[in-house]
Amino acid sequence: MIFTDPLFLFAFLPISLIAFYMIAYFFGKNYALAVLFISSVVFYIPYGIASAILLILALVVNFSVAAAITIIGDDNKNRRKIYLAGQAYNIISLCYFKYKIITLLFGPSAGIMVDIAGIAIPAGISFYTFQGAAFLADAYAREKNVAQFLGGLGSTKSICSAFGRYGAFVSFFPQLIIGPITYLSEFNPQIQSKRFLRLNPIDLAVGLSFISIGMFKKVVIADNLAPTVDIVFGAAHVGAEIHPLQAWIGALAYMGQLYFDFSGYSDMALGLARMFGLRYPINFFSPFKANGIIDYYRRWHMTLTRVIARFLYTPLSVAGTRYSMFNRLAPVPAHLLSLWLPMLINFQIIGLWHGALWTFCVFGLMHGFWYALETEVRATKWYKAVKKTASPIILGFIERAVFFLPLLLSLAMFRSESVSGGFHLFSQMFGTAIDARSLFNMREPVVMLTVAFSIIYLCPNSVEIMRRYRPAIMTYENKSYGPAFLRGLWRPGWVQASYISILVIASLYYVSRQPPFLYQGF
Amino acid sequence: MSEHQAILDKVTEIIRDLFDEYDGPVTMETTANDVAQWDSLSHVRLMVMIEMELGVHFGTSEMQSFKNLGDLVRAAAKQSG
Amino acid sequence: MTKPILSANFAPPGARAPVKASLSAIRWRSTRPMILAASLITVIYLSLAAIVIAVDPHNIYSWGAEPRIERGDTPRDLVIDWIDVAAKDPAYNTFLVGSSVTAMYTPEYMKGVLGPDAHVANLSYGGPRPRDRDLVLDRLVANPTIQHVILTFDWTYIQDPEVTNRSFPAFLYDSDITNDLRMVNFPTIRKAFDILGGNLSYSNPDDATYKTYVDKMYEGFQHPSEMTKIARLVERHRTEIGASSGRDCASFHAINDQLVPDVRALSDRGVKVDIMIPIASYAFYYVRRNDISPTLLDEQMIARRCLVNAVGDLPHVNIFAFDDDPAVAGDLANFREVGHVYDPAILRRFVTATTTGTGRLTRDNFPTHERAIRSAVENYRLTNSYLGRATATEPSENTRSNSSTS
Repeated sequence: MIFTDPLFLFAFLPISLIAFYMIAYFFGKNYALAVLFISSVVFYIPYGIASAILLILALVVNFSVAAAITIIGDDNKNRRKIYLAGQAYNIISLCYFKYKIITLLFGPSAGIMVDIAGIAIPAGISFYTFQGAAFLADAYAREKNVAQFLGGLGSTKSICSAFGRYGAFVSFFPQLIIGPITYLSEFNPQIQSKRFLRLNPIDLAVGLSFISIGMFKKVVIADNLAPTVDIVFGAAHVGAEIHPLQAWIGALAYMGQLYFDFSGYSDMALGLARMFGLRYPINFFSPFKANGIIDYYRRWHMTLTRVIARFLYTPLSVAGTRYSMFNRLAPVPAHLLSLWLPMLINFQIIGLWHGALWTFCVFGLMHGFWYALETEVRATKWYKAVKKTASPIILGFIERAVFFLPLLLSLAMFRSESVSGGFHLFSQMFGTAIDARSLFNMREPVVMLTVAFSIIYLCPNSVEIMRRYRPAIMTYENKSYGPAFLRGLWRPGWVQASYISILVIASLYYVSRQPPFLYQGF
Repeated sequence: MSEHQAILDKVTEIIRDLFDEYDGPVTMETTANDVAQWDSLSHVRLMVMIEMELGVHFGTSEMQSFKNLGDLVRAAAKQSG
Repeated sequence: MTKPILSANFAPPGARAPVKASLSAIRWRSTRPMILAASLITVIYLSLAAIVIAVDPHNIYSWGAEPRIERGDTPRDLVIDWIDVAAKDPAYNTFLVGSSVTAMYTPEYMKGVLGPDAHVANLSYGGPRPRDRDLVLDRLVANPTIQHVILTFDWTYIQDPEVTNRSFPAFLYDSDITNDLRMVNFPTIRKAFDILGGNLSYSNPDDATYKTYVDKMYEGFQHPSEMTKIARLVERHRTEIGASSGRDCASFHAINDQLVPDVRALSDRGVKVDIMIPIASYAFYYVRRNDISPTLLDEQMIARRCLVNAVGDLPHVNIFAFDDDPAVAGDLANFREVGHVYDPAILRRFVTATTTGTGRLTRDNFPTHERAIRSAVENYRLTNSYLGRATATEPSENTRSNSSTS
């Protein structure tokens, strides 16, 4: 199921909410968490029975390994082996089912991986795998939440209820398909709290607000930018001549589509979890307001940034730094080892994480170089001197202006159907094909873009609007800006109730919309 | 406690060297948020410099688990003590 | 890669004092509007959905009402919702499954061409794509009373089978029942209540608006500046227009896996199938190579050849094409857009062919047909008899010399 599906919103969600709070009231926490687990599996089954079995298998393997390394003492040498075997399972299943890098990048003649090409990628596999892997790492490091969360594992009953809790933590449906990737240290304190399981109307109201805002962003804004995006990128893929203005509109529309699509889903995830009384780490915090690529990755898909930094960038960087410092390397090779190489690998993985396509490789390369370069520039004496003397407003403006174009181009590459299509689009954006055949009627896309970018740059994000109610766990400290008069605080009331009704009804209209005029469809 | 103080003194010296723009206090409660230059890259350099200076060794996940300088100092003291 | 490491963590939600009863009452009061609104929307939505599904205004289920298309009107922009209403109606024996190029044929017009026994439903909608076209054909194959299908075969079949028309309500016609809730929209709700009120028929007399739309399009297209633009494109891409795409029949999955099986099934049951290849102007390949495919001409020709080879010899199946006639496809005066014929006489000739058998493509005459079109396109000089002059860049040439294979 997807969040914007009426069946999910009007049937699945109310039923699982009622079941959750009823069971919680009568039977307590373990049964309530089991309800979350079971409803999450029900939520997942439409993605395919095979995928659901794989999910359960991953949960069983990870849970068993985590339980084993929690029970086994530190002096037992098998502990490390069991841990590594568990992580190997995660990595292998992820590579096997998600990436198929060899098959997809180098064509189907690549040998042993051919057999899996026919299998669909199980939905959400990277998210629940990352979450399971982080949990295992925490268990291995004896993070104090793990033992408390698992509890005693002496009897079959206690093992079953621990597995139910674990299943709820990893597969909880608001975060199962697209995150946020959550750490146990964020989840466990909440379910240990006395307030958990108590029906708090504020949770429902905050949750409903997030859901309606998120749905509006996704269904009304993102989905209405999508047709323009499809037309322009489709034309770029076949090497069409595109009017520069339309090429720009296409690239900008994709920026808007991606932003509102992901932002909408993230809002809905926060809202859905909140209705069950749970807060999740924030995944998306006005990323286009960033003043550079470094800032951008603190605002964009933050929980992925965090988990990749933890498991990939930092170990690589530590190894590189250790090596260069112990061997007293000159500054340039030292920087290559401790910054550039880890950063490029890091972004290559982030790029490929989206799928095994060359466009994602190029995207990863662009962002890796950019991130490393910005790190270097910000470390120079020159930049620091400028920062001290220049007005922060002017500097912020310049930084954002410098940031915008590479971001636009790299996201356009990300969306392109082929690398050549991406570069072709660039050539058309800066080209002179002013007599090219018009690909679409400009009026609606331009209006949509104006609305979308006004919201992006002028309005506070939904977490800021609802900051009174601590709607999310903040992963990074972020500054934000926008006109003060738009930064109103949200509180429950009739006005807000009408707002969310309008948002939901508008979204429902678009969910089932039939564009009335089909003649020019060719 | 005095052992902790000795370690903190050495760490302070490294921090003053690495984060040359920072002139605020360095205490057991200092965090990365207090120091503008203290980003993830310099965090790794700081950790490795402390490792070399004190002759200790941190795991990568350990490096990321320190909540403030106090955590770091106590972990270092545990190893050298 | 940032500095989460030492940053302050969040406060666990349970850290504060327990909630007092009075506070809880205040909370319930303040959130009541919002919870009420959400519950109201949920209840209303679910009730409407239940009514729509029970009434079944699109006739997609085995239960509910069996609405009929009353006056045989051509429901151009809503036909995509009515596929089952028409396909399950035993009164129809003839179906026109076309695109924007066949949307203008009214059932009465078709009756005039095909004879009094033809009860025609025009299921044409703009911009069909392989997947939705396949869903429509599957519906017709399931219809036991069907006698005659007229089908257009245009460039969309060079695309991949999963490509779908964005506006087409595939959720109505696929096997997944859980997504059917998407049909709960204003027109459908209104229709469901209409049916409950006893009005079981559909009609959508949009002929007048449609005619205005088509006429405006023609006026807009018949403009010297438009012709100059097209002529420039023709000259710019002439050398590469015939380039090989490297494709073979096996690569046209939409033809092999979707179209051919349905045509075979219909043919086996004795249903007459007329496959019409819409008339595209020669300029079409130059203009649309830009956004469809740079090797559009080659792919179209191979696709046609594959179709003729696959189903051309089947009993009851005929394939027709007219664009090897330069007086038709070469003269832009006949068009309201490079891919859309406007001229009423040509439009009539197009459907009349199903009764006279002119313009039939066979395995034997196909190579000649393909050669004629390729050469006509490659040597095309823009012609427009309506604007009264040849807008070609080299006016001295014989502007209609496409039959002389050079």
